[in-house]
Amino acid sequence: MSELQVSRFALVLLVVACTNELNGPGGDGPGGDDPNRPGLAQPSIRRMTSREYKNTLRDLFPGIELPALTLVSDNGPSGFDNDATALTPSQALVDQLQRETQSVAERIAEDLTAVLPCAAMANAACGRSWVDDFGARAFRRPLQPAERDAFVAIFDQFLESTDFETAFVLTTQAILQAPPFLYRIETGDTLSNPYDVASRLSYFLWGSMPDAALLQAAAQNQLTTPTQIAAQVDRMLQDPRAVEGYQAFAAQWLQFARIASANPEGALPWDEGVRSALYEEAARFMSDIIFSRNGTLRDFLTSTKGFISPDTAAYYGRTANAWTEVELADRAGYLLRASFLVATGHQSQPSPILRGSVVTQQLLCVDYSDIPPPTSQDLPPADPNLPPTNRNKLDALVNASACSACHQVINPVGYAFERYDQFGQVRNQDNGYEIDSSGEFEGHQFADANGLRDYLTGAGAKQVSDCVTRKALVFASGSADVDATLLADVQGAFTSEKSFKELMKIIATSSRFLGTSP
Amino acid sequence: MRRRTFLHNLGLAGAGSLFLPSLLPRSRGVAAAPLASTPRIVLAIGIHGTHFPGWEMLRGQDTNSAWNYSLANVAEGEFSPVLRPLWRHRAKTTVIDGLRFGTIDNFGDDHGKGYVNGLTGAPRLGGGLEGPPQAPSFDAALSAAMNMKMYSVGAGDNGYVNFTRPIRPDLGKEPILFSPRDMFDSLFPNGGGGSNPVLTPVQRSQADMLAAVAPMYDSVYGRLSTEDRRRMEQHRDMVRAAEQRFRNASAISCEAPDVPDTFYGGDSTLTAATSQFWDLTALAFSCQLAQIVHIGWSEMGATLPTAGMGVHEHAHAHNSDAASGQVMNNLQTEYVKMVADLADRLDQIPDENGTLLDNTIIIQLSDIASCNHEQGRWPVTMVGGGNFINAGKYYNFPDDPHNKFWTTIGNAMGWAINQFGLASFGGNDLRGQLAGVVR
Repeated sequence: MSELQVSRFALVLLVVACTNELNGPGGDGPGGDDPNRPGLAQPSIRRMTSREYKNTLRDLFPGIELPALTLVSDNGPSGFDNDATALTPSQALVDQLQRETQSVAERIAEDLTAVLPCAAMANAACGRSWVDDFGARAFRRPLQPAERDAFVAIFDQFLESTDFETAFVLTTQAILQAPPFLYRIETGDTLSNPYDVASRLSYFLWGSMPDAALLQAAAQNQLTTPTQIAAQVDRMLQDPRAVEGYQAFAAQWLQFARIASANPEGALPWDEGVRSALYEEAARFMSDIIFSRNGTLRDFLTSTKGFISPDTAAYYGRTANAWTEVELADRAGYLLRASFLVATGHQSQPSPILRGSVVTQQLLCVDYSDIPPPTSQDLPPADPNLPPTNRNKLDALVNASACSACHQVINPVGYAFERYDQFGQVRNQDNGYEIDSSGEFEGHQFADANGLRDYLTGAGAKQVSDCVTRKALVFASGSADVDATLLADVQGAFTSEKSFKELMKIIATSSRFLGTSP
Repeated sequence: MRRRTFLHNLGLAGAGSLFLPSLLPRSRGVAAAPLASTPRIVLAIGIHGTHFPGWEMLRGQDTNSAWNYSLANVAEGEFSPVLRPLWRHRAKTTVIDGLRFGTIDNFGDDHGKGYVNGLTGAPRLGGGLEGPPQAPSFDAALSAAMNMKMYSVGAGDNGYVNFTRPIRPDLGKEPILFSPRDMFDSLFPNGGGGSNPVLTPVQRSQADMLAAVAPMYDSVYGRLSTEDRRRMEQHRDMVRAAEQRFRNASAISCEAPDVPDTFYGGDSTLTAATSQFWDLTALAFSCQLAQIVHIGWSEMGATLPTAGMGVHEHAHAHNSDAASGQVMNNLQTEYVKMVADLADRLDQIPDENGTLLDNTIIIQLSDIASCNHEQGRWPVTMVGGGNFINAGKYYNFPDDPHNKFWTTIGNAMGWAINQFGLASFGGNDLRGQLAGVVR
């Protein structure tokens, strides 16, 4: 293609920009800089995460085995990958997108008539139909006339200078690198329009694009009443993609990634097979609670159903030839499973600090950010008059004035797990001394991890359910800055007796989450 | 023999055999007239700090005063165990000792603290590995200020490496590429196979396709805040940069090797991935496709059983017994071996006024200063850059903040700055150069 021809693309786009047609109802006009839209904090647009991008491509091209995609990972400060503040573009990402969209488009073109039956005609009209159909699915809404003109111009130009298949590949690449595909940009005026609602639902519940039924409902303006929304949510929660979506939340909420850096040493075998099996154990546990049993937070904290593999059976004193469901009466709840206890252990000792941190921050939402930082990073010396146990060593942090503000909260919760070693196995002694697993949180005493569990499901249950609600809303809205009214509404509606699925439904049907009410 | 095999055989063969004619810019050559030297820089960031007893080479001198001595005539046996792999480059090796952190914050997590304060010259605004920085890291700031192309890569466990990402001037974190294939594809967008690869129509049209995409970021339909529009502009500029790479690809003055057929990554291949990244670094620098490479290294762990590891390095880093000290020496020797390996490669590629090594400053650092998290002494190991710095010396600067080191390196690379990071901290002036380092 000549530079002259390239400039014709630019001309189309320049005209598009100058007509203001594409600036839409928002632009920099009312709400442009401070959109008074509920449920979404600044920034108001979100780039798809690597996870969402892969899922969306999978759903754009169902039944086609796509090339392996290796986008750079996303790390949000809120602890969730979809934190909009961290989803900035980078050159590495843009370069990868160019290569990956080429690989994907070329793979699709290998059997072109399967996705574009008119391809045998190899004409411009067929290209236009691809732009209309594929563009609308990729953008999760119908194309604006100017957008359509731009992509048709691209197709026509490449068809003129190359051939139909090449024009198809390049136009598909262009669509997959355009902002309305890579970014979730809402187009409703003050409130969400039905297409915005469809995307909010699908990216929360599935981590992927709306399906045909959802887009059709949007097109027919059937995503407006609570009944219509609830019916769609019920349908979506039955879809296997909902399992995937909730697993993405659970894995980040419960910090499964800590398993990646675990490296226990001692009596039990440890290798990559065990590491992988511990991920699987955690995923199976959560899937069972949430989807197989329609379970509650109480079930999450008390379930005795376990999942062991040949790699992890020894961690529970069992044997297994394959993944097996077992009863673990003495290891009730997620917090007593190897996947949690190994992930929060050190090489030769358990880590009350990690265990206490996860419980207090992820289940009880204790916020340490306002506590002044310590003036020294030196580990205070342990009391030489006490037995050299893990607890006594770390108690120095609780007692040191520079550290106590955080550690007097974290450590006593973590100590409850001191009877579980770095492998999560039960131990009766530490360094030859009796173990003290007593702990405390906000004046509530407990003798051990079972007592902590009783607290979390009893007196602390409301705090846990409020915390989990907050975490779910951070994930759902892609921002740590959760809308206060929305948070209060959902916390009021969700209790520990309600299931995780109900929590998803409460959020997904909230008009403030969907942006359909002021 | 395939070109890739040829390249690797040469690389692994070591001294005297890494002259790669195909890596030389065709417009230049061994006999080309001397030109003004073009500086390049490699930042290699390991973890767990420096084990000073195995690294330092004080030779009995007073650590409280400033001094330096030439490394050129130091016998191999007198080199410290950790630095000994660099003995063969002793005339081009530079050690900076005695610096203190010019800034240090009091937030938690020493690894994040050491990395952010060390690379940005300014304290974090909060705690944690990714604790919010208030200034860009030196590599990203240099890249932006001097318009130098930077590659940010990593070898080993992603979780360990990710927190040592370069920090951009907009304070976003530059992603790290863990696959050498990604770096290859970025360097050679038209693929491998020599100077005139046969391109498909799709490949030939990538620049035009990207040219059509870029303006779409100026005309986005929907509600956007000012911050959103800034992101759109950033994305647009990056698409244009990608377009330009394709337009420039036909003008690349050296041959691309075959496409690497292996995706490296993960603990077990840290050294192998590094070796491939070094191949690509030499190519990128030689062909002027990049001027900055940032590489992050994770723990080596079980990948180096002969070094006495295969165990958790973090615990050894914190132990003060002799056995753990030996393990840390072994570990850090392996890091230095990888640095020496890159120096080998660069030193055998002729470049302006010497070799590519003479025009490349390789800086090896760790996330924190010392293995036991003491932050009082900030050690630097460097190789190369003899056209810009007075190399081949061991320097002791006991009264100087580390900010001056970055100012010094920036000045050496032609960046006219008088400070890097903060100008002062705790009442101390952080401005100016380290005396006598810049040529």
